[in-house]
Amino acid sequence: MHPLLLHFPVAFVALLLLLYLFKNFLGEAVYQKINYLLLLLTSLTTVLATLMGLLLSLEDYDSEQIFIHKWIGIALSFIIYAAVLLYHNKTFYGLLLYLGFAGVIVGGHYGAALTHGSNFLTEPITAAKQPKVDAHTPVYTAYVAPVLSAKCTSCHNPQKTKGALDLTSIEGIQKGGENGEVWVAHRPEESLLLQRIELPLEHEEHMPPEGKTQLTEEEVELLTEWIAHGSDPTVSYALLSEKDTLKHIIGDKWLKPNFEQPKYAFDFAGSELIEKLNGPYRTVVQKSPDSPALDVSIFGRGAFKKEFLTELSQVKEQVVYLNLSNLPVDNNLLQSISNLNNLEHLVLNFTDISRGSTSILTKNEKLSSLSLAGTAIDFSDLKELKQLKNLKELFVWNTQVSDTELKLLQDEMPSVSINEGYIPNPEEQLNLTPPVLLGEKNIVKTGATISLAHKMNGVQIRYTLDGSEPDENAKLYEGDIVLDLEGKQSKTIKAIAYKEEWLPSEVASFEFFDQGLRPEHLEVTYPGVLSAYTGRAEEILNDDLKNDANTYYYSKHWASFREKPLEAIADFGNSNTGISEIILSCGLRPNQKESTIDFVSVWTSNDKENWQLLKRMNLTNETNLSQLKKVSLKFPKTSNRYFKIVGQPKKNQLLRANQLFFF
Amino acid sequence: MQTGAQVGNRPSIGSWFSYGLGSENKNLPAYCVLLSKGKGNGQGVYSKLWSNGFLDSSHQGVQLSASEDPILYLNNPDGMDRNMRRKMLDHLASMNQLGYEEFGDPEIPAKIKQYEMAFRMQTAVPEITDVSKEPDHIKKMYGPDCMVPGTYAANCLLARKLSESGVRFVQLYHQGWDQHANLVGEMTGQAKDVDMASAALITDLKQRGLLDETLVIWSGEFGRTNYCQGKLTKENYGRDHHPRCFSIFMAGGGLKSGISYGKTDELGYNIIENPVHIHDLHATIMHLMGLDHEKLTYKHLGRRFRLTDVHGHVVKDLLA
Repeated sequence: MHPLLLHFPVAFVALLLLLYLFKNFLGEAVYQKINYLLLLLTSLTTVLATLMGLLLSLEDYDSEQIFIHKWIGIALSFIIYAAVLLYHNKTFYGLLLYLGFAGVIVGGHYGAALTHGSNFLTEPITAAKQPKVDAHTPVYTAYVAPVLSAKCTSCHNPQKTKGALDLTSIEGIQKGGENGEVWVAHRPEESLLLQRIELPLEHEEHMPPEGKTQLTEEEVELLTEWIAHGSDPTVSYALLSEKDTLKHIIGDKWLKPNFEQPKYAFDFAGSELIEKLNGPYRTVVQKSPDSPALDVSIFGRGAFKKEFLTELSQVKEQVVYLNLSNLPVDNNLLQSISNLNNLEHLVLNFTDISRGSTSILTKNEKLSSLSLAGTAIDFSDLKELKQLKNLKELFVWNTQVSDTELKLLQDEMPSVSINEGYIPNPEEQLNLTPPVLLGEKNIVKTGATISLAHKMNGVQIRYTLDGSEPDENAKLYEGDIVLDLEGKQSKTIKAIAYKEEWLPSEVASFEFFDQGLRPEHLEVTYPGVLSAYTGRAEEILNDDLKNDANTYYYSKHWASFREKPLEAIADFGNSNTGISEIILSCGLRPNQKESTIDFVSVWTSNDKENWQLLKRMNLTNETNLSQLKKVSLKFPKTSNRYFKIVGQPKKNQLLRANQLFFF
Repeated sequence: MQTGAQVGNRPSIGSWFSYGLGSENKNLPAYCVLLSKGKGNGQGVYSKLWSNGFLDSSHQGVQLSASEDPILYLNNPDGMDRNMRRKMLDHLASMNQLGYEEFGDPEIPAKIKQYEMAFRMQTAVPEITDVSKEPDHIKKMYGPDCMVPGTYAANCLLARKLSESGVRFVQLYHQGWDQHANLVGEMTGQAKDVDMASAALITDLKQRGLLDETLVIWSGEFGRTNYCQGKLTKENYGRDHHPRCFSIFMAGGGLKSGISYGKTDELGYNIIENPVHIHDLHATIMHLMGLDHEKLTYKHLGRRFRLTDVHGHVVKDLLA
């Protein structure tokens, strides 16, 4: 009741004094009426408030402050009572009123100090001057004490030790209160502090009491982890190990970096100027619509002009970010950005800057992030950067700087995070990829040149021509291979890649096929089927590419036939020197269970009308399916002009053909 | 996952970023798509996945091919050199200008600009797709496959180069994860394809000081069951689709690092803690890229569309 009632006498006494001072203004009659009523009300509430205060003081208040507050309150009751009695004696009344007002102010001050803490007047001012928190500040001082002081110490302080408990100092906490210890190290569940906090809000013993500001979930979590960790008042963020939950909580929720948008003192560059500076190779944008700071990126090594940089002097105050990656910017050109006063973030990765460049950069005093990856700078350059007091991060991957030099540098610049990037582990060895064949032709004739290649610089390719596995002693590839088929229908080149510090590649195998005799003209009677089919069976069957029978069976390099047969007529003109074998190269789906071909037959003619059957091969019941990939029809040597090849697909099966060979 | 909607004709996330952030490097598309394929089963991807939907077609993802010409039809035809092309464009522009002066159609200057950009791309694209100048140990970091065009590793390396050169949104698709069977061997191959190169991409961005301004997201579009599909043997089994929960990872700018967010029950069947809806994920990604998912809208068919449609919250716990 006391905290509620006390505000009446405080306000009423002040009002009485005001009325007294302005009584001439109100007129005697009005003044008398209001004043007397108010005085009676004041005396009544003052006495009530004092009585309630006396009752309240029976609870755990025990200090000099409460003593002064109590007696001032009692004195005030008497003063107001005296004022009622001496109402008609104007001199005494005025005197008592002044005295009463002084009592209200002094008594009120001590009362407020009891409830809100003795520093309640200066707190808003001193709070701003909180000590700086860093990784070495004890967790207790930095994070735990502020929670207690915000939510607990207005009642549990040395003046107002409710429950005989003082939570303002670590000594007070360790002493505990009338109900025992505040917390038990490592045992949050047995700690009175948390037990009280976690009671239901309406429970009589819940803390803070209903109506006071409650702890947030995060604060409870912090206190719990703090106690679980052992409630050691000296431990700091830096001392906690990575595994500690407490470290993560602090890192995540409490050690927040300052996220406010940086405020800049300079003016906006103006949209017209920004638009003018924007071009196909230079992008200039404001950090955000309400920030005057500019981000600038310049692109395109081939198209670079030095004006792209020098023109930036028009916005020399505003540029805070500049990305010049991969541009031909050298030390000379770098001079032209020295006047960018507010430059904070500069990216110079893979530019042409060299020794001495960093002494130019030290003029950009505000630089906080600098990327120098892939440049020709060395240790002495980096040491120059010590002059950049604001530097926070430095990227030096792929530069001349050695590991030991970086360690030295880190010692000299402890506040800078230096990122040296990926350093290959010499122990770790990886397999090279196999060499590749340039061009996709694999149907050739003797004398054709074959080119192999590897995308990685400095790779040695070794190869064999006899089908054996190549190793480090095999022939070194030094230029195009001139292929000699030695009269065979096919020949395999096997190649392997070697390089120092890498494991050899797998063996790549390239099979080349003799193109045999080529017809002058090939026509196909029925069009093929399938969505990927390009409708160019004539080309597919007579080009320079034979596909692997096991892959790409659905690609555009296969001509497929269903129901209607593949019927191809080859015209050799007058050049036919005699043919004794025709090979139809086909493809099969993986998991194909039965033959796809009914039969294949070869006919010959000299006038395209009277056809003579040379050979017919029935494949309907063929069980050796690999036979189907290369259907070879041999017959006595024939020098006729025309040959007709008929391949009849089996019912409900697809015949996929990709090449015809004539030998 | 791509569009925040189950119906078609919605812009993909990259198109939204192109629309919202514009192009940083005006010589390159703002949204590039790179495809690769594992040796596993061959389920395709379609260009509708990087479609611009109802947004302007300039926001469509541009697919870079693994062949000699990364961007098709960009090179001059045989027999035409760069000077000739320049002259041709100059004359074409002056004629177009005449047309513009006569008709005042705003599409005409836009067209002239497009031709100019294509001309600049002719030099900008080869500069970026040329990986031969990369230091040798970078190739060790991404794995030797990074020199084989069209592999995931090569695409990671290319993605870094594109991102470094101001392409806003680079999307890599790696195919072949649909192991309803043959999981044992195929998953090993898939993991091998992506493992080194994914880590290398993040390391590479970091060592260039670019990771704080880049967001790397690695994700599929649904999960797989924790139980087996088909007969369970040591050598062969499969896993079916499981849409109720799955994990993704993100790294880079604006994100808290070293945390995991959300939990499933011990069977990995349902989410029991901190679920993130696809709209929440999109909202968070947009927030990290500096966009308010509620404010980036496009009016189409009489209403204002968002990537996050009518819902979605930024997951604040993920933000640094």
